[in-house]
Amino acid sequence: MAKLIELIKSWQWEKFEKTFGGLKFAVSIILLFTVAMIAGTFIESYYGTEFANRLVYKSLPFMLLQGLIFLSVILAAFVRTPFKSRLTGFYIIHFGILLIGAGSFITYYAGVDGNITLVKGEQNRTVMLYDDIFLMTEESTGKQISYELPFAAFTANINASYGPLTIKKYLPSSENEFIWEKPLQAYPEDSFIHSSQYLFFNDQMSNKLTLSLHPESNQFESMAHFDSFSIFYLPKNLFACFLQATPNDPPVVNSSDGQCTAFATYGVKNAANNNRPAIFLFGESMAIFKNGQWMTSSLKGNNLGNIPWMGLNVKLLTHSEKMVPTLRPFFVVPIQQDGKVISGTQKALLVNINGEDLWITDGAPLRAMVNGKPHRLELSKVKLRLPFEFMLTKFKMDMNPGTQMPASYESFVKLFLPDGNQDHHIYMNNPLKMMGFTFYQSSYFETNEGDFGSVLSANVDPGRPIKYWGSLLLVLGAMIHYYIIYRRKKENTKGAK
Amino acid sequence: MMKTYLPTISFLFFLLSSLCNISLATEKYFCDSKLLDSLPIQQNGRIKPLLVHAKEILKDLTGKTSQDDLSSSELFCLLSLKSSSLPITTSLKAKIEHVEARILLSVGRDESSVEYDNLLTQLPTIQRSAMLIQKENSYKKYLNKLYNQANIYQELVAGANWLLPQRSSSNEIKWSTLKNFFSEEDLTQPSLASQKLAQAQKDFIALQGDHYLIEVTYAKLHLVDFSMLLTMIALIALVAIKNFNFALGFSVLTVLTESTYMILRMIISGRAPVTNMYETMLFSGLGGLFLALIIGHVKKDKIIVLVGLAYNLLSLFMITFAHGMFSSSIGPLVPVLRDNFWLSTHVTSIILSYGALGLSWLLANVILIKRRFFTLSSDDLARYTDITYTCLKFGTVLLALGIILGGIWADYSWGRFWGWDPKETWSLIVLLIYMAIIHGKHTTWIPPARFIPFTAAAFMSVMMAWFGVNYILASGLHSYGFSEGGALFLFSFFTLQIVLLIVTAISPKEKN
Repeated sequence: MAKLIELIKSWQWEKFEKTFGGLKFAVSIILLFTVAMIAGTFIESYYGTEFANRLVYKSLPFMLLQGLIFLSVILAAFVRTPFKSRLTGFYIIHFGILLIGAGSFITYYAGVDGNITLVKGEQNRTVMLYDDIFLMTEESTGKQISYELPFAAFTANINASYGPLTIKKYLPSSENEFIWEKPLQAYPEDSFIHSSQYLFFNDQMSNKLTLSLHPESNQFESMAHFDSFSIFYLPKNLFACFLQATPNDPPVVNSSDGQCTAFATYGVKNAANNNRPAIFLFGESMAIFKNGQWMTSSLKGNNLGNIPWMGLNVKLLTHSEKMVPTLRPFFVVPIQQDGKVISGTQKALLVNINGEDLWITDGAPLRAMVNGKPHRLELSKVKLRLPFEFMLTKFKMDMNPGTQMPASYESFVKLFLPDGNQDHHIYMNNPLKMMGFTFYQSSYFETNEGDFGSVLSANVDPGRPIKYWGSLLLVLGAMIHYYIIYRRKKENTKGAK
Repeated sequence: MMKTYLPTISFLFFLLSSLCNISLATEKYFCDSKLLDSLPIQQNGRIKPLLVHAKEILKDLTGKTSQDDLSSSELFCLLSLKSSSLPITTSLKAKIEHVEARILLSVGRDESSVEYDNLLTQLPTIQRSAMLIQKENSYKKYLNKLYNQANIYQELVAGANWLLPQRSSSNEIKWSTLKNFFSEEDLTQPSLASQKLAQAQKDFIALQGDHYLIEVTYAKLHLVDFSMLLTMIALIALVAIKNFNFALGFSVLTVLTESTYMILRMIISGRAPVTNMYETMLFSGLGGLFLALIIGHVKKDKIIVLVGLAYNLLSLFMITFAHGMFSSSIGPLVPVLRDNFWLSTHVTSIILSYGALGLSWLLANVILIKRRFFTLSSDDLARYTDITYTCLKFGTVLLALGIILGGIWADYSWGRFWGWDPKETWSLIVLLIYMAIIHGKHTTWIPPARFIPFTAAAFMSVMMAWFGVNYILASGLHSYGFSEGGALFLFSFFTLQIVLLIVTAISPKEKN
């Protein structure tokens, strides 16, 4: 610190003050800041709010620009000392701006901004903040390691290690690509561990579905259930059994001769006899039980499998006997269309455990063995525990008469406070203030039961009063400034007369 | 021989056809505007008189509010009655403007429009064609618009657009469609139907009051047209007759008329009249004129009154003729806007500042043009520049105040003072650009000669914040204000302003 003062002294304080408190510096920095903001608004329009925040508004260079503006504002006032009464308005304006800046900094540094989701009848005290975090929890003990992820716009290389775990890189916006990966372990030649990707389609829709029997595939399963039917993915050697089966005699297991092995374990017998239609896929072939008989078809080459429901067809897109089907995240710049981000909404983190690379995405937590113990690995938001509990007792939504447009939404909540329970009513423009927190009615959602849940934004803003005082001074200062100019002009013209 | 007879024949034909027209004046049944105009209708979440609803629907469908000898409510009534057994031939035509749409619907070269009844048969074609276009382009937008219009027409002629109030047994108002409201007997006897309509209105007023009737007065007064006329008279008085007091009188009348219009809108909607493009445009014109009168009074200068009138006329022209960008319809607000105090003060302050900055923009352009193409004495230049600067100061202080009030409102409604929302950010951009100009004027960076073009150019940032965020950026929390069709206008405005700046920058002092 002393060194810095020495440096400034040797560099001539007055020169420093004149340069950075000068109007030319002020105008240049204001214009630079303006250009950055213009870019920010267009970036937001094309790539979405979060990307604009990451790249511009909450980036270090943008904060530095704001810092320089405040430096300029302070020094501009210093340059104009000692106090001159005709500059009263000017001093007040600049002091006001400084207060707004200081208040904003306090909000940024010590404030809390997040939201709390309430479902009717359930208690909640967790506020989700906006910062991304990596959590690794030991399942038996609940011991947790957390790592706050950088607020970067592009791929961030981290390389932080915790014992056998290394956090390698973080993709703040990503999409998945489908790839075949080499298995880590060797498997016997006669093991049936194949995987396939199918396309199910009819006139209205088409849907890709990947099914796998590979023991290393943790992203794809061997079963899929839809509204009106189920799909079972079975080892290909079992297909022969389906061909032998008679209408009234579904395939039976014979565990001794290696043919049609482990049949019951796949639930085939039940599925075939069930009223619920089932599709059995064996990699490159298919069997369906319909009207008391088995229909089989090959999916090799360009052969389409016909499914007798909904006019569906099946096409085998890709198939592998030994490889592991994997969705691998890759970085994309998000794309926003019609006010909605349509690409790059997924966040992904690459970690390495005991030499094995693993991708974790924000929608899909992983289980992994670390130091021989099962752990849960997840990408989440920083959470904050409230000093009291919330419960939604009622959610009310009024529509504009004769329409489906909400006119207002209101939450009736019960608070479980240390000194007893309290009932409150939160609605738009009527927030709840409690123990330093302010809760605003922010949004709502429909639950699976057809009920409505409520989202409140939760907020602590210690900088608020300072910003308000600064604003008041800024406006008052501007008025005083122009009033002084007006009076001096009037006096001058009087004097001239 | 034949040629000489042609005019005579055509004249006779004309006479005959006009006679036929008179004798074939549209049969109106019970559709009489005297009865219909003040009937209540519930639409888009609001009770309004049928007159207003009919005008909005017809304007949306045809661009006009009446047809032949039929008023808007009569036309609406007759079209709705097409769903009944009455033999009604009245129909509407849709203007088909888009070239590709004309080909799709095989509209002939000499035709400009298509009967909606024919359009209905082609609805699947329109829908399919729109769906096949992957990218959002003007054709797709046009087809979707056409599809929606045709659907509204279909709803209209099916009698489903007209909801009528009926008193239920539990003394509540139920809204029923035409078919449920009238029996076939009612329809064949116009007096019976009229009676039933009058009774429905009486019942409604008895149960829910007659507050909505103010809107009938509001719609019939045509105050915007009057304001336009008054402004033009004031401008003529100032420019052509050079009678300042006369012009001043009409300016004050304009302010009063427009204020009455806005107050009526306020009473009808129950909120400050500054919640959409139509209202902000109107209010900025009014605010600009009002500020101009004050500045003119203080500075004892007529030029600012002229600029104020011109700016007001511009805003009135915009809301009257650019119907695609400015809809005069009053709709319900999204929940977050339903707090009157902060909304009123925040938006009022911002729009008033846009009015003041609009004055500075217009005056700066006047100076540029006068200096380049006509003569401008150095005395006048100094005077005009001083007034431009005054407008700028008013605008900047009001804008700063408006941004801060907006911050307070956002803090109060959303829990944050500032959130880098595009509308917020652009208002700050505008403020900083004007700040840079004001600060630059103090230094030698912006000499008096360059101050004027800078001021003219800076207004482009206002247009961006005001229109561009809604029409070009169209994202973020302020999405409740987004509408379509303004991007072209905005680009034309920017181009025109830039061309003007370039042209006037080339040897600007040639004539001095």
